[in-house]
Amino acid sequence: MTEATEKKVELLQELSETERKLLSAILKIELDNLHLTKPHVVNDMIAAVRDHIK
Amino acid sequence: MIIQSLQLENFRQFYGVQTLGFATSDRQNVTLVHGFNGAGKTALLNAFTWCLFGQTSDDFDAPDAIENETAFLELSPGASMTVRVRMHFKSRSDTYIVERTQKITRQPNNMPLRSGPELELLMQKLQETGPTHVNPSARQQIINRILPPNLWKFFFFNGERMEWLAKPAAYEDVETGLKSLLDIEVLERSVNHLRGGVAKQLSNDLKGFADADLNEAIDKLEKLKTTADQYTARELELGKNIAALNTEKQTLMQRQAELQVTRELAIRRHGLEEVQDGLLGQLKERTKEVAAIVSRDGFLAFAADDLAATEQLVTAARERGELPAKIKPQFVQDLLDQNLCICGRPLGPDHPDEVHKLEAWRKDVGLAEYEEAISQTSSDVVALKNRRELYFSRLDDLQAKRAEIQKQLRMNNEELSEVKSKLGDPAHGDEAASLAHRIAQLDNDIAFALADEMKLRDDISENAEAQESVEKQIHALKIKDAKGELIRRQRETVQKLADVLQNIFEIQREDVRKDLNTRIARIWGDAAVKDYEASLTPQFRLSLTKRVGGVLQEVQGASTGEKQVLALSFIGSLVDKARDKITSGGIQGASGLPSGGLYPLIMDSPFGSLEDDYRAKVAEWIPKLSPQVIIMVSNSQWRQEVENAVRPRVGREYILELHTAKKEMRKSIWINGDEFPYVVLSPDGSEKTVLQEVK
Repeated sequence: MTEATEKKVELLQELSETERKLLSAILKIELDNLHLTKPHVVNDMIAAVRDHIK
Repeated sequence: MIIQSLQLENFRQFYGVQTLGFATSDRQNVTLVHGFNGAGKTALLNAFTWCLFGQTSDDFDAPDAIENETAFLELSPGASMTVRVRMHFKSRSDTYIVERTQKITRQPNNMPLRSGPELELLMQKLQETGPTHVNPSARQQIINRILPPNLWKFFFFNGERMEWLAKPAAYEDVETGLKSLLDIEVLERSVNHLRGGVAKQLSNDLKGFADADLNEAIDKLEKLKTTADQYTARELELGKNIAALNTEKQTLMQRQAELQVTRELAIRRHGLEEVQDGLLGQLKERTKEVAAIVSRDGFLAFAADDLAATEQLVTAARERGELPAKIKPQFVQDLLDQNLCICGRPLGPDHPDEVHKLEAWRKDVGLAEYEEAISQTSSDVVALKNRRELYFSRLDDLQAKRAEIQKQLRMNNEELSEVKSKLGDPAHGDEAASLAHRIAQLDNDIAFALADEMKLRDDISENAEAQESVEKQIHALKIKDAKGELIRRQRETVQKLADVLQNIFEIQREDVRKDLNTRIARIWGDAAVKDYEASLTPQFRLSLTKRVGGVLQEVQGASTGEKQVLALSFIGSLVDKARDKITSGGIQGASGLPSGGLYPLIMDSPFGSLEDDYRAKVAEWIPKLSPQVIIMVSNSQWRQEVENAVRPRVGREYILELHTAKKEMRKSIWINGDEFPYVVLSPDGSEKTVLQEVK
């Protein structure tokens, strides 16, 4: 494992399980909308936050 | 992305339907296209980008007029024709056929009416029975995922103009391109969305449950964020401005070096500026050394009084007879314990006076700890005094060196000012004077812009501190309502995740830069003639440096050829990295995001303006840069050394046979010992290009 990967893993390990799941959901939303001309990223992200943090 | 074939229909010089197939094997990965000037090499290059993105390069004249003139003139008024470019390529395990068309109608006034263009995409998944049509709204999106649109200029380019990548103003394109290609763009965009729209919405929600204090804090935070956004935009603008000023300055300086009347002075200035950079580098090093010494031993400069006082204490103790102790306390104690006199006779109740005397001695003798401490201090004082002397001597030495460098700098600057002033001498003519005047203006503008940038960075830092302080305030304020408390928690989680993603982005960005740096240095090292080092700076600028007096300094006035080789090294490293990434995955790969890919290199005239020294080496490593290379060259660029290096890797070869009405223009080209028509007389007088494959 490279030093950079170790640092990234450390950062992710500091998150709780819920926070990690939310992070994955956020990245997926971003990726799905990366090349769309009319993205709805913010609304989708807010919905994900509400869904994960209850 | 590996391109199988390209079909052109009435696209620019290409009349009717014509198709090229490309080399795709590992050993023979090069497709070579020979073409006379005007035969359509640039048009062919732009056919790829027009097909994929509907875009053309900046040097493609009249980009809207993509139709073949002969085909258009054959139309009767009111009739229409279709311009079409169709590309067949593979990406990962899927194959694609992209087709972009544009309908052109000849109007009654004989002017063309252009509609569209329209995009069609057929996609075939591996092991599926046939190609499927992709929904129109998703077509461009799919293509953009395979090759992000801001990346094509790295893979489809005019070799004679590619040195733009090595110019200061290109850093933004370089950084953006890297982010896209290496999947770190998604991290940055996520951070911006979380800190922007998402945080703002949650803050607004929270205000519904907030008291006056909390509302005030949220408003304050929003204002700070708005200011921060303005600062960031300003910083970006300033960065672009500085890069543009530097680019203009370099261009003008280059022009000074080309003018006969100022050439010698420009070369002299270049030499003096190199000396200046070297001296400034040395001064920086010496200053760093002074700072290191002062930080380690600086306290000694103020310790003279303390050291003297300590010495006096030790001397006084010696004078009082306390040091060294005449009899060690342990010796007296041992005599008492063993009931022995110092002369060896036993002691006891019969000798009370002797016992009493020994007990008195025990009280009088020096304390061991005291003696040891004084002895240690004494040796420390000596060591510190020596270190102090050494400190002053090294400091004097370094200051003398700095003074010498500063003296040389002053002399160099005086000469430089004189040369600059001579460069602007009206006797050299209007152009020379105006160049010198503009360069002086640019120097001033750059200095002001750099000062503005420094001030702005301070403002950004202050703003970040203020935001942090208000965030703490929001966190500490009480919210009675459970719903409000939940929103605050959601808001804080968003902030935490944005911070984590920001950190991951920074780590990833630096990791990518360092990795590319190593690859660029290696590729450059293979082709470089001079002892320069190529690198990608932390600001994502391609840079050439050299060592002068042990100090690395940027090469000023690198030749166009050197910049092209530097740009090629960068592109090669990019392709290399993307290819590696597709196999290694990485943290994004693990989280489900795609990584890297295979990319072709399509180059128009890559050997055009290279110096002789570089041409053969570049020709040798271009085929190794990418799994698929398509090269377009004119006969004059296809020299023997290039032929020798590239020939073994050529899998497909074409001639763009130019048909012209001019009789005297007839030319032929020799390939592998055979003669082929290169420019031919058009029987019907029309100008067009016909693709001929060399078998």
